[in-house]
Amino acid sequence: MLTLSYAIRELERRRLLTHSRAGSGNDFVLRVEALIGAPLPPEAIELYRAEITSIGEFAAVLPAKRGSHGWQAGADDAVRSLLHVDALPLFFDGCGNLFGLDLTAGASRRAVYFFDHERGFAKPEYAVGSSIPAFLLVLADHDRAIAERWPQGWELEIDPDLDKCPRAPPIWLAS
Amino acid sequence: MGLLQYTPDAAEMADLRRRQAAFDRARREESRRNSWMAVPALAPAAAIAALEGGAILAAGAVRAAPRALARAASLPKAVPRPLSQAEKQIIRAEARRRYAAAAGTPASSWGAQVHHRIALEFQHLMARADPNRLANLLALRQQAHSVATNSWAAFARGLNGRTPTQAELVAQAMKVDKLVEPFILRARVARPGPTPPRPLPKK
Repeated sequence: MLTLSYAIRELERRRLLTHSRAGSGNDFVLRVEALIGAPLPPEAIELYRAEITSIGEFAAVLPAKRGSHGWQAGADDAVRSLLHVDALPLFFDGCGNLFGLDLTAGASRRAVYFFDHERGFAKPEYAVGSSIPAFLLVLADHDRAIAERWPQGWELEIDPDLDKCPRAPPIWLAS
Repeated sequence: MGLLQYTPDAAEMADLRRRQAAFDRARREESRRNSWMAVPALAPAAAIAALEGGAILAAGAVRAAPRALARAASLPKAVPRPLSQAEKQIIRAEARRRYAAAAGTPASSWGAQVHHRIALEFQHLMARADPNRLANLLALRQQAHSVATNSWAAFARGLNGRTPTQAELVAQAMKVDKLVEPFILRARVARPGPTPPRPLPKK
């Protein structure tokens, strides 16, 4: 099973990952918990503590501090933007859409899904990772796979459980 | 007191010239890619030429029309249904790539997102218009992009299930343009900052 530390090492080796290194990980956790009004699942806490700010061109959805006190309202809105569908946005896709972690109560292993802004983030459109580490590795190859026309289902090489996510199918089965 | 005049040094000018050349290359490349879009404009003229023996057309149009029409025959047909998520994914990746090529840097590097002026949900109604033509792409910060998204959502609700016309889509895109215009980010163009403080009067 992929771990977050493995995914981070791999992405750092490929120079595809940036950190903030500002020591704000715990602040992020507290702020996000306050915004969503519930404790975060352990895998989300681990991700926030890693302070990842981007994978390739995909920026992380993080609360943003305003000076030494307070937080930026716009960034707070982004963090809350998937609450109505029981999800927590992790990364922007660069065109207004979001990759979000499943927050459904009782989920044993939390998958990551794509949410379409043109559909009002109304539902998970397709699965992009059966776990956060698998998602990060898939995301790193996202644009390259499209540019080089990798075969359909290339994601299964990285994430064999991608087609078993409960809330939405993988992209090649999505409408 | 006269206006302050900023004179860039030689290194800055060289850098500017290099960026202008790169931008020009990207613009020419995009123009070449989008040249088939001249077809709808030329088609009526070509039809008249067929009827009247070509006497009416200007010489340039006569030369261009057969080539453009021949190319049109090999174009894929307009998609008669909304785009699938897989199709949207490809279009969005290409949009990010083209915007970065034109601007010289990815939109994400300045905290922006690439916005499609005509929402991809309605792209299938725009016949053969390339969704990633540069004129259809804007860079917006997330909050401004949300304003655009909300406006398109209201537009879609207002249709009550009816299929909009192309004119309605263009009018809606222009309405959104007005909403977000103050927030459009452009490469190398600094947004006006706050009014600079006045210098203290000399004692």
